[in-house]
Amino acid sequence: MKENPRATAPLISTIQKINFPIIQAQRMVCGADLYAELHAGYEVCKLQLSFLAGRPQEAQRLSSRFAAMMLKEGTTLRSSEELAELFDEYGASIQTSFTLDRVYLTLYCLSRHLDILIPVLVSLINDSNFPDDELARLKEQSQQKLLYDLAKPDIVSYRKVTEMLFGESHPYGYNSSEEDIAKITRDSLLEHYGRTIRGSVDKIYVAGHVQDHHIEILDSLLGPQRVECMDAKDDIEMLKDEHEAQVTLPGMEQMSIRLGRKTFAKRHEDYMGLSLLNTILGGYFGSRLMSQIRENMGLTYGIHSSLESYATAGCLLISADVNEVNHRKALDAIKAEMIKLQEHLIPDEELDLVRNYIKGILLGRSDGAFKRIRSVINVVENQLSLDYYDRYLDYLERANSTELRDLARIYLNPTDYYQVIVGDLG
Amino acid sequence: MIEFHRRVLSNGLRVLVHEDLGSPMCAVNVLYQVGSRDEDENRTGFAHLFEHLMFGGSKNAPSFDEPLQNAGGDNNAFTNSDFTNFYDVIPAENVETALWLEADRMQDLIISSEALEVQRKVVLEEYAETCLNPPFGLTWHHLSGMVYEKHPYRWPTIGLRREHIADASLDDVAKFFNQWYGPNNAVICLAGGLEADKAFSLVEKYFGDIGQRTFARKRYPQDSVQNAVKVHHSDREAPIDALYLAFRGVAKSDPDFYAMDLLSDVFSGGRSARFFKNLVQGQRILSSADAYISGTVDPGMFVIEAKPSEGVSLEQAEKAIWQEIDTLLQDGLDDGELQRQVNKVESQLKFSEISNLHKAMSLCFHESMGDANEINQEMAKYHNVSADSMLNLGARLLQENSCSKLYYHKKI
Repeated sequence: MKENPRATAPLISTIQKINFPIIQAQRMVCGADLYAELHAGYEVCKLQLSFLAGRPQEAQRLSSRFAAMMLKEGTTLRSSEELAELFDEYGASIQTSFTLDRVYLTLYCLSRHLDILIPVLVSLINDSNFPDDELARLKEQSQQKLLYDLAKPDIVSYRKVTEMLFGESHPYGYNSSEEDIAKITRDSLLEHYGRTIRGSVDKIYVAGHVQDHHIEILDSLLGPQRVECMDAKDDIEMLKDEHEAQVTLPGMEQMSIRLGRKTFAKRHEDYMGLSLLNTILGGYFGSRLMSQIRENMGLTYGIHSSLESYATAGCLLISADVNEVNHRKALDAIKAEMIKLQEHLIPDEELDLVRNYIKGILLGRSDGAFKRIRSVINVVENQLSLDYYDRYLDYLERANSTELRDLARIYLNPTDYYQVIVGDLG
Repeated sequence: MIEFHRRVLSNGLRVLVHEDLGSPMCAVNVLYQVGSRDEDENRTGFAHLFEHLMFGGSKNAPSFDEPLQNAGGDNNAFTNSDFTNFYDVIPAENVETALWLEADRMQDLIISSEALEVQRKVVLEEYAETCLNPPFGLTWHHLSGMVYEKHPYRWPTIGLRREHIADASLDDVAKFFNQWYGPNNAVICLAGGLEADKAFSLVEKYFGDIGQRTFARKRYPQDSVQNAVKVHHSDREAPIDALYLAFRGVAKSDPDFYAMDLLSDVFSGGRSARFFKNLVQGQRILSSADAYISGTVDPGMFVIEAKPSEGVSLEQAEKAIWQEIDTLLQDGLDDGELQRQVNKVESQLKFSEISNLHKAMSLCFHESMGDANEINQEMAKYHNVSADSMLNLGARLLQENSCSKLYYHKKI
């Protein structure tokens, strides 16, 4: 009989070298820093402009988000409709987005249209005029969207836990409300725009097929930018006593569970270790939470832990959606997994597996200009050292289970976690 | 132009390879031509439940995930009404691990009552998380049930009822596997940093001896033209009003498929399209609006979904949508309107070609439809759509008496 060709597993080679992007800023004439991952073989490209225009810079709540959304709603030369038609005509996509710390304006297009589209992109930054009627519409749409979101347990639990973690008046902790949306005015947005966006391009990231003369056009059209130094101080707001919250949403089959604690920005010395520990706890498909609570106990479909990092703070969040009758059982099981990591060393086999898995993910992030530019943005915007990825690879090799257990003892104490349960508690 | 090589193994497995030797990674995509349309009407949701069971380990690889993760790979899967698709993305030098795992579960999947027990529970939680908790989570159940009366598209992939999933037996699982999960019902594609010769020899090595399976694809009963409007009001209280208008469209292989796709784009492909420009931005009757197609192999759905602005009734919102449809069909397209949408499609296709995983999935899909070469004909098919063919199709499809309407009412 012929031998079964699948009887033995193929040999696995360990990833030895990853061709990480070399992160090098080019200071443009306009004053902004440019980072590029060019690829002449592509027919497409991405231009992303980054502004330090997030919540910490707000004079009024939600002005960051609304100012970002309004950027494509009209310039001194073109109405919102005309802008939309122009970008659509070239099959281009113009996106405004925002994180807690930043606002982004991103153009995706076929490279052959860059000559035409760059001036339009620049006009959104230099000449936006925030028309009243478009703002009124956007506010109405946002009110409707808020009503809809507040009926979703996972959104409600996320809002609640981050509010408890950072405080309801903190830029990272406050939640949008009907009142805050109603209070937004054109003047408040113009103020935010004038102070943090117009003339304030901080970083420019380009990827794909972009030629030198495109960069030159962009540079000269933008004109001089105020370049502000990022001076991030780590957040030290005190925690509150109240550690548990429940929110009732009638008619829900499942409870949305969130546990969370504050951590730190990515620059912190424990970040690499905690990131590895988080992967093991609930950061990938083979994680402890997934294996135990989903694959062994069958209590949930989705369960994760994630380490979120902002400019001056961060948090570790654990989330699961679980049937009402099982939610206590799931909560106990989550906490048991946290305690296990505090009390027992992670077996070498598991640590090796996670090492290899993360290396594969990192290798994937070095594949192609669009993924590479995301890796660059991660380093630049989190103020990490330029050799961050090489250091991270070194750390992965060195990481040992004793050190990870010690980190678990600091960061995975169930009693340090805020706990939110949202669902039909009636 | 996406270049690829194709071979068929003696057991019927269709193998496609796209070389991208600059990439350190390789995507491995395995498509099985079985979906929820192949289910028994009393056992719906089974194809998707089975997808979960494919991760339960096989004879020589008791864990699917661990060896893959150990090799630096990541994986996932999805099921729809027409097929079930598994994919792995792995460092190219370790691609053999992914092939070994995929081949071993094709030949020797472990089918155990424990695994079934757990995955039944997981899928029931998935049902709750995706269908019961979200305010509009049962939309697909309602629409499928109205648009189709005979065709198995009348139930959604997750399953018609929870009891169907809860009742699945071990015997059903084994039968399903033995029929559908053979090489002669599968397409595999490798895309990434691997030479074609090497790729073919590895696929031959791991899959070459797997025997064919016997299956009989049933004839899917087709529905006749709907000639009376259907209406359903959801009895679940919603946070805001919402409205869905669904029509039965044409099949993927129909020459009019691309006209149908572009027709949905003319309504909602970007902010310059009619719904946003006229109803969201212009008259401010709607707070959001979308038109899209389900893109299935057999005649699929054309869906319009809309949420009225505060203070606008569902009746007013619906009237405005019908008015937009009438205006388009009577007055035709504006200058440049169709070209804008074709340009958007072209741009989207170019962006999607950057991802090897996307190319692998798309190649498998086209091969399963009959010819992987079609992947390079898609753009021409969009270019060839004429305004007349689109308007004729629109006039045929978008009639009130062939419409299925679903309303959600805001809690007062």
